Amino acid sequence: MKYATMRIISGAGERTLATITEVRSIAALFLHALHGCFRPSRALSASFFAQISRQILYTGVEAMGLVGIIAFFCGVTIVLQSMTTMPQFGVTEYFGNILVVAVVREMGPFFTSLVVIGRSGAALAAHIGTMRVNKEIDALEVMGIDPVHFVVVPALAGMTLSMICLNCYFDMIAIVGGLVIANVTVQVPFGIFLGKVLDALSWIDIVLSSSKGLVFGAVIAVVSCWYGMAVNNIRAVPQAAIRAVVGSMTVTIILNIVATVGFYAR
Amino acid sequence: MPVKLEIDGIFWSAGVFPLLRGISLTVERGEIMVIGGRSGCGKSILLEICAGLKRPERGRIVWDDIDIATMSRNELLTARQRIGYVFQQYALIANYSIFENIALPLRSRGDLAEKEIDVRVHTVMEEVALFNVEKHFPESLSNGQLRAAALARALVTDPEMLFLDEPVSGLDPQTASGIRAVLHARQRRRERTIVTICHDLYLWASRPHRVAVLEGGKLVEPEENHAFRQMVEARR
Repeated sequence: MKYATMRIISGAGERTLATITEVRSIAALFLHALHGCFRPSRALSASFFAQISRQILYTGVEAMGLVGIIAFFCGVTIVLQSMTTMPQFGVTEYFGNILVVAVVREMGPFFTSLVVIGRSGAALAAHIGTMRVNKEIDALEVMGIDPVHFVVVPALAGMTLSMICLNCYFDMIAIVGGLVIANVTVQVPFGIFLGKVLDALSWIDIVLSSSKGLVFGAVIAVVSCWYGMAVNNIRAVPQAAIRAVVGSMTVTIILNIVATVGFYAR
Repeated sequence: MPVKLEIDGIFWSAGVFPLLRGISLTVERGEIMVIGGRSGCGKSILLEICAGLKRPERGRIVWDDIDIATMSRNELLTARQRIGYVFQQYALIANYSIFENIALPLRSRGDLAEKEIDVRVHTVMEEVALFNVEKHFPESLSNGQLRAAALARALVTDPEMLFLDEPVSGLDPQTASGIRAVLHARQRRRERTIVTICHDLYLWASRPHRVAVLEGGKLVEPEENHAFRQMVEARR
């Protein structure tokens, strides 16, 4: 019994230490990549911008369809729920505020990050893992090229930019979705609906939403790259993709809660 | 100026199995050193350690009197611009064309105009007999072409020291002898230091300055190696 307890405690301790080491290592990779973002290697500038464009294409442009569908139905659902529930409480004019609070502050950044994690985070980890297995990362090192500058920096820049843009796109489509359903079901004119939404929207909402997009994008990129870089054999590639998804989701959820609590606690 | 390579008392284990047990060797400037041995005996690991890609558990790796273990990461990245390395698996960047792959080490130095890069890439592609594939991606090339592309990438900067991990394995005799001729010409013309791994030591037997066989985690002279003796006998 005593032995079993000791094993549980020592196992928990080992896991905690391993997690702390992992978090420190991810933070170090983030700082290294951030430094590379502001001082990109002049020699690699041609391939650097090509790689950022490629990352924006995969993460941003190709995700627009899925993000658009989710955003549209989010807007539709929120407005429908508001219009059926709010009259029971005697408030009918606040659906604009509800839409802004729910979509712009919370759902936009969060759902967009889920789509990006599922599509691009996993793919990025698998891609870098495969590069590791194929010795492409070693080949970069042996050519005197910093793999973080070559692989992580374009992913970080491309994914962060994509997240911010996708986030804005989500908000716009969700508002359009709300607008359409309000017009179709209860014949609210487009102008009035849009006016209410714009009245409810403040600069703080836009800054908060964009900041979340920026931070989530950076987190997904760095966490995914770190798990990809940690691969050391072919069997570890799918595991890296899974861990990148789980790790990115965990950090994103924690940061989302912290940001929301921080926003309302001010 | 070619680099002198010294390794001293290198130990390395794969898990609990000791693979390299106190290996020491010196490759003088402008020498060709051929390392042989059975599959899985640790030749590739030894080459990666020599190039500073893996850190040994114990021992020193010295390039021109500088222990690379004492270099910072940035210093090591700069120092590696003096070497060329051909990996057994080619290690070409999959989403780069063959031209971009070969041009990469030149671009990473940042001191050459695109026109000069273009000329150098085409010259080295001709040297390794790689024609009409510059716009192709690695997945569309044959093994022989991939190996030639990997060799071109290693040679394009005219490195002072070359590490080659089985540069001719799996190739037809004509292509293999072409690649060997390119390497020997480079070595003769510019006195480059070359460390290469090759199963078929006999293929290099007339040319290398030094041959060693990795056996039981140690480097032995080929004459002491039973398999090598048998191979030479069979060729006679």
